[in-house]
Amino acid sequence: MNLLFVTLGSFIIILAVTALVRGLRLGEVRLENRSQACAWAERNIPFFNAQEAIISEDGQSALVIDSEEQIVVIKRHGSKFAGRLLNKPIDAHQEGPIWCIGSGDRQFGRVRMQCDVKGQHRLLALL
Amino acid sequence: MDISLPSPTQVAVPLFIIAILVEIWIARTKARDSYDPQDTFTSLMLGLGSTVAGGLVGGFYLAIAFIAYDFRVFDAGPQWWAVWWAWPLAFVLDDLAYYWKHRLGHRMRWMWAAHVIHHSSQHYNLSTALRQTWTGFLTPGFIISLPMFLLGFHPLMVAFCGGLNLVYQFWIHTETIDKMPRWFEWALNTPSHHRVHHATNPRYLDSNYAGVFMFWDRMFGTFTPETDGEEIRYGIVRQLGSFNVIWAAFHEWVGLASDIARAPSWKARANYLIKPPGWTHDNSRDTSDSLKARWLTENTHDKRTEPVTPASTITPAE
Repeated sequence: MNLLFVTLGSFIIILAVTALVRGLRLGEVRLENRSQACAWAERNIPFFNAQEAIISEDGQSALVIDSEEQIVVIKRHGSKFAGRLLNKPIDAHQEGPIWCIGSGDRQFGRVRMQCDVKGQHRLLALL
Repeated sequence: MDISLPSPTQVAVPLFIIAILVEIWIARTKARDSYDPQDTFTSLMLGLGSTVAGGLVGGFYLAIAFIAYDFRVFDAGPQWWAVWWAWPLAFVLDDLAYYWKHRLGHRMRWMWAAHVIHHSSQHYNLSTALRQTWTGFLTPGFIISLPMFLLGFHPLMVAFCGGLNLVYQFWIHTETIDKMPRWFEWALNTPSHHRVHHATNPRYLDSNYAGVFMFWDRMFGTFTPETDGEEIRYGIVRQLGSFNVIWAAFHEWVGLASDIARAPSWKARANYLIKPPGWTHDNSRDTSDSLKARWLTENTHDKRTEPVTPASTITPAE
């Protein structure tokens, strides 16, 4: 019974701390340009030599292509970014103006991107 | 006459909460990307889950400790707690046991499956410290502490020292503190040393396993100092990319079971348990050793260091 009360009390405190972090709007980040996405991929995917990137207009996701035509999908994860190397052919479909890119990892999930016209053309060329 | 000892971690919980609130308040103006609501929620829930798991199985392991203690070599008598010098000695020996348990927790996939939860966040703040294992009881790590009971250290004394050790380690999970005075950095674990431990940068992999005393790493050759100017990337080599609490707690067990199920031989199955994370029977994945070796080769040949990009490359949104 004691464990149950401690667990419930702790859960309430957890919700309060989380609400505080959300209320202070901490952890809001975005990719501003292609070079940021390339730099991220090079730093985080071992031995990835980024050549170009397509970034979502909201700065929350990107696709980065390297010199060996490997493709990394990046999504915002908290105040950081996380990525997955994609298998070809790329699993992607369109929902209105949004592209949904399959990461090949159910827990990582599908990554949503809204690209400008140039980005859309490049994305179509990759599919 | 026996003694009743408090649980240091339970006593410290209010201090943990206050310290996290203070760090959040500092982050508000100085490092707005150091906290994220979803990450904080996941970290704290994983801490809660660990407490529940400990409450459910802790008694079982205490019972095993008492069985080992029955076969002790040295006997301090019924007033074991009055032998004052046994306390600091137990603390140091428990810290040594922690070092090896922790080192195996990174170098043996069976134990990594339980420990990875603590490294699963890409953020590094005081809430990360509370991401503790739910499944440590499924690993052989406990065996490393058994010699202490066999020597004659009372299980309650060892449990108390272990609790103090964990409480000490809370404050080192922060980017708010840069470096401590030189003597302190030499002797004790600090935020700087522990940032290195949580880093995925190849130069830092498999370093700084100490709990409290840094000399274990210096003695056993696993010490790596923090390099100024190199941005640290926290987490695991293949980032989770998920805030699912259950997945964070069990994902490596799922991966381990899947690898064992697909292994071609019993030898390969055993190796999946005892070899380092990333080991495969067909060499299809990187281990921390292979990543480090490739990084060293590249940097030796090119005479260039890993690209250093300031944290400000990714723009915190206002």
